[in-house]
Amino acid sequence: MKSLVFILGVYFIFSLNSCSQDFKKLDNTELDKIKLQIAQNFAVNYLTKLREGSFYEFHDEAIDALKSQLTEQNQKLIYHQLSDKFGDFKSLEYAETWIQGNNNSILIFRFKSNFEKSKKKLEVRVVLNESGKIAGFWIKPWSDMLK
Amino acid sequence: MKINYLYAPFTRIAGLKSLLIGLIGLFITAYLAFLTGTHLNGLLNLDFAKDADFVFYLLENLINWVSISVFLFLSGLLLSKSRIRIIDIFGTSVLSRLPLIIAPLIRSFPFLQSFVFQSWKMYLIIVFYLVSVIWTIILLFNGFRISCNLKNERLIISFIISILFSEIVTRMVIYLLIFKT
Repeated sequence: MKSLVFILGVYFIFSLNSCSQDFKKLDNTELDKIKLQIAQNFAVNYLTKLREGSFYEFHDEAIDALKSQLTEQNQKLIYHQLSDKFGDFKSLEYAETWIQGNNNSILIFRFKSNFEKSKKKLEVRVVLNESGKIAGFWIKPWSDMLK
Repeated sequence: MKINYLYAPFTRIAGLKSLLIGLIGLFITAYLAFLTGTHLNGLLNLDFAKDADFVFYLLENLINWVSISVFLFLSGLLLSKSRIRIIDIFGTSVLSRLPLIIAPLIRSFPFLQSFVFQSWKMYLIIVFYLVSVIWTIILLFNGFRISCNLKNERLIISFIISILFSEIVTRMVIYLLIFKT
């Protein structure tokens, strides 16, 4: 009976682990500084343009699906909702990078950002695909857990 | 006898002594929470985020302690026939929070600093947190029982209601704190 409980326990732990083994956090030594710069520049430019009442004009740095979602109207609407709750964007700083996928092709850059009215930092997340194009962009409350 | 000391120390430590020891513990817990990004925003809520200043983590702990103490004190005033000393309620409540240091302490291991949602690391921290919360609730209950001299249904129902109300108040106050006015 005890060994059965032990086996089930080990299986449970391995099952939990398998949910998350697609992701790996990168050390600073493993970091691609050029890709980090691309992600950071995009995030800063995007939020700065919107803070100034303008919008971010995409070129060929992002995938089409993202470009079609983040139209001028959507960008302004999302930023308006964000600034209503948290205030205007102030700054952001690099926090960490994760890789996802079997061949480690997807890079997840996480930045901590300051907004005027919020005492807590928000996460700005930029995802680069295998060809180095921006494939995802999120702004949400910071968590030490990668969700 | 020693095991009894772990869940009912208030026959030996009470009043000003428990208040002072508890406050030192609360400050250490808050500091560790700040270093590790462990938000103890209420007894029944745990968040992992290095996203605020030390003062914020300290306030989370203070607000929860004060709101639990106030509700327990009010319950005691309403239901107990004995004379209740406010310092006993506040002292036993703050001392009861000592086990809450476990979660931030566990998170000080580097491999538990950041992790993936639903990973074994997350569940490991939650297991330790649940142990610390159960321990804290047992301590709070025993402190309340001794400080207010309540028994049976009155004791149990008033304790549960006080904890629930304090959770609601804690969440509301912390939510207001997040946004600068």
